[in-house]
Amino acid sequence: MQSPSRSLTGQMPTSLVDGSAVLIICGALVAVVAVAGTAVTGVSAPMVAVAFGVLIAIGEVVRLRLPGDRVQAPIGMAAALGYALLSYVPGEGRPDQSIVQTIAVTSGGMLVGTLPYMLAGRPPELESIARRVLVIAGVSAGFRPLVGDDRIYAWLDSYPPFLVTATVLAGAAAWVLEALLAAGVPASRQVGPFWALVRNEFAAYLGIGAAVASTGILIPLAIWQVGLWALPLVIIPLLLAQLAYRRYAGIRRTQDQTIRALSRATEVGGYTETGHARRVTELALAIGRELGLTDERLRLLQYAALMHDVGQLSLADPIPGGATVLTSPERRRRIASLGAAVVRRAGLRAEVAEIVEAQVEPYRRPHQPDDASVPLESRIIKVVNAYDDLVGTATSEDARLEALERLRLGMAYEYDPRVVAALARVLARAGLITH
Amino acid sequence: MPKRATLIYVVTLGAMAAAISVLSLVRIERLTDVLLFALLTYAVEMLKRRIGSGMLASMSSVVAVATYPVVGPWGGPILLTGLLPNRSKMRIVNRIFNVSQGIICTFVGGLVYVALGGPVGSISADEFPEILIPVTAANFVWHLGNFILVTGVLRIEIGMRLVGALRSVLPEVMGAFLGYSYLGFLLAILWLGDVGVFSVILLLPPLLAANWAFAQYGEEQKAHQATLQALAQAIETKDLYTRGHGERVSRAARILGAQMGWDGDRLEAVAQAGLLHDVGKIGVPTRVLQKDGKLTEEEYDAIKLHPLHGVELVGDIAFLEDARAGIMHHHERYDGGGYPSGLAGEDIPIFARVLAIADAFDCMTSVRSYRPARSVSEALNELIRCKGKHFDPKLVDLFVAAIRREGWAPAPAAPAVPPDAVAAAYDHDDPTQPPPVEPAEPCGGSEAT
Repeated sequence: MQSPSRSLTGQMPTSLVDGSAVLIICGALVAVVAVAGTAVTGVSAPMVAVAFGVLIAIGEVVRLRLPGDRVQAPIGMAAALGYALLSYVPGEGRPDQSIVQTIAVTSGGMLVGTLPYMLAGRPPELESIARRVLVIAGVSAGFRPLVGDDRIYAWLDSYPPFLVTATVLAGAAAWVLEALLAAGVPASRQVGPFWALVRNEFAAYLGIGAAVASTGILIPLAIWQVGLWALPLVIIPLLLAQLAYRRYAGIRRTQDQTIRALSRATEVGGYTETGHARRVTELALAIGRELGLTDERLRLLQYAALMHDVGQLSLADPIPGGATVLTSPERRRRIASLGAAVVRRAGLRAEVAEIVEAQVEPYRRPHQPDDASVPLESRIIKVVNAYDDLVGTATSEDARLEALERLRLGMAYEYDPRVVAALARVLARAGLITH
Repeated sequence: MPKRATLIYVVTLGAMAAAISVLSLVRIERLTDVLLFALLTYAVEMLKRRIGSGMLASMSSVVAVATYPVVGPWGGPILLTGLLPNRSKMRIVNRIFNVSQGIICTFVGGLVYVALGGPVGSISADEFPEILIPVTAANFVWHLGNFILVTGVLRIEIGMRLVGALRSVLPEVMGAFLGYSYLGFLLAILWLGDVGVFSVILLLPPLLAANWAFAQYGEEQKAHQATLQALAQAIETKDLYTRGHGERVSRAARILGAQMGWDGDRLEAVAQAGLLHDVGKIGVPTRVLQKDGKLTEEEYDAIKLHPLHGVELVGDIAFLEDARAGIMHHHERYDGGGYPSGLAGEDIPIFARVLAIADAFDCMTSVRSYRPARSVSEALNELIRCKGKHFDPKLVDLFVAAIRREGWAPAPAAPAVPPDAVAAAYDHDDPTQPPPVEPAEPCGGSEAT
């Protein structure tokens, strides 16, 4: 059977270039050129380079996987940024490392830091490393010449606020650049409108990105005062942030798994068909992305889609055939409100219960305008649920087209035309239907 | 109203703090710095109130120890801003106590810092690494003083013991101590540097991000607990008599786990396993669960599948790794006569041996449609009688000792079951009265099929 899940989340056949591959190739090119260049010209201030390289590698080892599968290495990135923005080291004087050396130390440290993962057979996350290397390359290209040029450096050095301003601006640029590069990958896969993807990346990156950027700015400022001893000290606040994020990401993962277990309870109990909740959730999320929902709303949609049939647990025995599109509206409405009660008891956000409850409502009624009280998330679940029931176990394209046609016939009241159109786009992009 | 002794204690501390403050204000040379520090303390207090304490809880102490390299031991008065009127509902006695103990700790820590040769007024690269000695010692003294003074008031108020308290909070205190001490030092370095107060603002984003993530963690944790309970309750509509069974088994498993010396994640895992041990009953047809009469072989086989259904359900929840074996094997018997695998003795995973006892104990002390509840001591005697047959004898002894010491609140005498509800005439957990398909021979003989 052709599983829609892989095609829905993986690379889309219609996209010409894959952002991830482009990013990795560019990062690898830059890293190779930088390492080769440094090998030819030699390393300046090797002690400083080694200290930063080690910290970058450690930062890479303790990297984080944040909700939404976003891989971050806050400590490694802050250290690399600090190295790129270095402007004075007590005892060493002006750090005159070149742009290529900065990039070489960064990419070298990050690759060393990812070795333990590769040895343990875990993914090396080259994409996120390439992203960081490219950001550092951009920042060094802008900032290193200021320190390297005698006249400019003398001018900056004559009045510390100039140097501080330049450092802060470069750090802020890194923040924006990393969010843009991160958004580029999903954007190249066309999993939704470009502006929505950029907005989601920025929102996800806001907090930890600000923490990374400000630490990267602090590193050169603190090194002015006390030399390299400042490095471990400056990392402390970021370390606290990283620990807190790690715990948060951990509990989020566990919570997702537990909700998935709860959604499977209906399958184990024989109330619904195996895999139904999972398929509905994946397709609903793809449509939600297609319609440009925020991460926050996608998460509500995910939980509501997983829980959309959970109300059946409150029935003593399964209804024959499950709560499919083929049962009566009253029955489905009762299951939806029982499900909303379970969702409320399960400590999920109130919106999830509202979405589950409204999933049976038509998006408008005869002689009435579009019913704004039915959330978009409910409309998505309604359409996807019906689609999954109509296709059933069939694997042919004809079955999918026929199901889509049945949904189109219901667009006057039952199924929101925007959602049906988005479903058709998602299916077409995944190669499951041809126009 | 606080006790008289508490009042005397607080007033004494307050008087000491007042004396230190007066002395400090006379000795202070860098008045601007002290004022800025005081402002920072006030800002931290306000911020705490705005966004909830979380990680910011210790931030006033961080600011306090940051004054050492700037003004030596005379930085205590900056904490006086904590007395300023604000919207917090904290009693004035508590506020005076907090501020006073902070001032005393700051002063004593500062004396240690100066005595060990910590530089005051400027920090340069030449002073490293020797400077770490006075910094570390001063911070240690600060936190020790804080701990002693706080335990003092708790001892007067609720009779807490110093040594026990130290043991329970030590790991947490040490972690905070290491992280926050050097954070205060970093603040001092930046403060004394060329860029000065501005660079301190750059410390805020990581701390705020940490605080945000910490608060999110707390909320998710709460939600997750509720979700687990909802999962455990998923079976209760099918089986009204077992309402609250999961939570009580969880409580009993926790008691036994603690008696075995478990703590932290392990104890948490066994409690979760107890909560979810019967969740697989969702896969058993309702008519079998509610059958009022003898079970056929097939029906009993369907019931015996519930541990496997349970594992199937929770299989993807990563943190339940250990709990999984407990759920899978909680119906094994020590003599090898249980299901689903017929394991015996120590081959049965330890979590499963714990759950078997907790499960049977709650079943016996609960009302069933076919029999009244037993008393706690009767149930304990029954456990002892089935030692070595049903249950791990060592664990039974530990459990009996723990329950006799701590007591047990059994299930409510009459569960809220609607009068027309169908109730089963058996309970698969009941060791004294196995489902009527079996030869009715309590815990003797082998039930292996």
